[in-house]
Amino acid sequence: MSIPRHMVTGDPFPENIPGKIRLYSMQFCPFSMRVRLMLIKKKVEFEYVNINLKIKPGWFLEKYPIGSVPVFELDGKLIAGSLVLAEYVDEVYSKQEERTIPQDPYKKAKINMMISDHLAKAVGPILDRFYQREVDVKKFEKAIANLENILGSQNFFSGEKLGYADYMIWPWMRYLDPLIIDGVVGSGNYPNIERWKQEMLSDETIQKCRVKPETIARYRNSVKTGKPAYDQE
Amino acid sequence: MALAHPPHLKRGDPFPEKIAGKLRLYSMQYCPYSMRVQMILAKKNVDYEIINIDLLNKPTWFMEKYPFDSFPVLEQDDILLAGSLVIAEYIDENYSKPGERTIPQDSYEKGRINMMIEDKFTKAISAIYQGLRKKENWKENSNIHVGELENILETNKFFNGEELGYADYMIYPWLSYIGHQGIDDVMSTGKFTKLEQWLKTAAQEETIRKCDTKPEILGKFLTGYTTGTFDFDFNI
Repeated sequence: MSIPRHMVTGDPFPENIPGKIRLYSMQFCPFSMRVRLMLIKKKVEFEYVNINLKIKPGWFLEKYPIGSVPVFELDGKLIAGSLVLAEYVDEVYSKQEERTIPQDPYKKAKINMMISDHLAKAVGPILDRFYQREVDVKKFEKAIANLENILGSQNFFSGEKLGYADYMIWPWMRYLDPLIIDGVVGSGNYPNIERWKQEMLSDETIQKCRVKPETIARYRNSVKTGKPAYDQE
Repeated sequence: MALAHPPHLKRGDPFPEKIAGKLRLYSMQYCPYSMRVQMILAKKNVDYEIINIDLLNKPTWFMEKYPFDSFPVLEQDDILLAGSLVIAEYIDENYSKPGERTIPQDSYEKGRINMMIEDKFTKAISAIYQGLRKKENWKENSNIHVGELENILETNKFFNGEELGYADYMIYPWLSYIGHQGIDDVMSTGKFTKLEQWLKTAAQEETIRKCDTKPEILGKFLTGYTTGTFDFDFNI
């Protein structure tokens, strides 16, 4: 499936189709990917409109002045925020008994804590490394060591089985690849993370959303030039 | 004379043994995140004990047993949770009478409120802390981000909608700071008339009144907080 072109200032507004879900997104945005994963897992039909985050179209900023992605739109209803959206999609579009987010109050709370505490701590350092920013290497190593540790006592971040927390951190963890952020996967020093990553890559939903590491690497390298390669074949 | 509140345990104080089956909240008397949780606990009439922690000089056992970034911490037998929103949701789910959920149950309403809390409230809270610490640009940021809250109240009487609810509880602790400690510059401009009205109404609400701190005591806390050296038990 070809990647929808990233809309820029001056591009005409793509008219909404009544009853059709639209996700404003950016192809390489990990927060957007969280929502794409949920929509695909629930087999929801949706269109996605990619936004060039460096040259945002005026109509996007009018609709959503904060200007970030992802944004979900359906018949005038707008919702934003990756975790708010992930929960919304899970609630509204799950077939009976097939909720991804655990429904037991304590299990749900624990998974939300995993995401907002442990996993959230890793997001910043991973992104810093991804965008090749001059930052404290120790912060990254500490975050990765923490994740390795968690996966030492349970198979997945969600518990014994692959679940919500694993999907929510996947968009960042997929950067741990010899072609992208080197030194973790393939180094032999993080066997739990390697095992987890292999399991994730065999998941049906993850496979449907997969972007080749080479493509991600090309985007990553292009960011430094100031002209991100959003649109690649 | 009875203590005004449980003392704040610090380094060297022994671990208070848990009581089987008892819900325990590790808290700080003036912590706004903790107040969020206490309002929901009060609303659901939950029985629990408070263990106050000196956040500037934590007991070693606290750091070892509860190594979370988030605060407050809820514990009951094997149940262990940290973070105000995670705990608030858990209490609401576990202890509400049928049909009496505080968190909106309609998916879109819930999404709208959660968006408000995660985005607008987080930014306003950050601006209010900047005001307390007199950081550069605090006035500008307060005007923008507290201004956004005023905007929300242009369309609805309360953050939650037509009636006071979950969203209002989740922002009240910080908005109650306005009027103290130089944040007054934000309110006293006369620009935020809706917020002022909201604050007057919210302060009278039953659950908020149960959990609120008297203005003179809050004022003392905020003054001490901004200097960084502080005795949490000043009111005992």
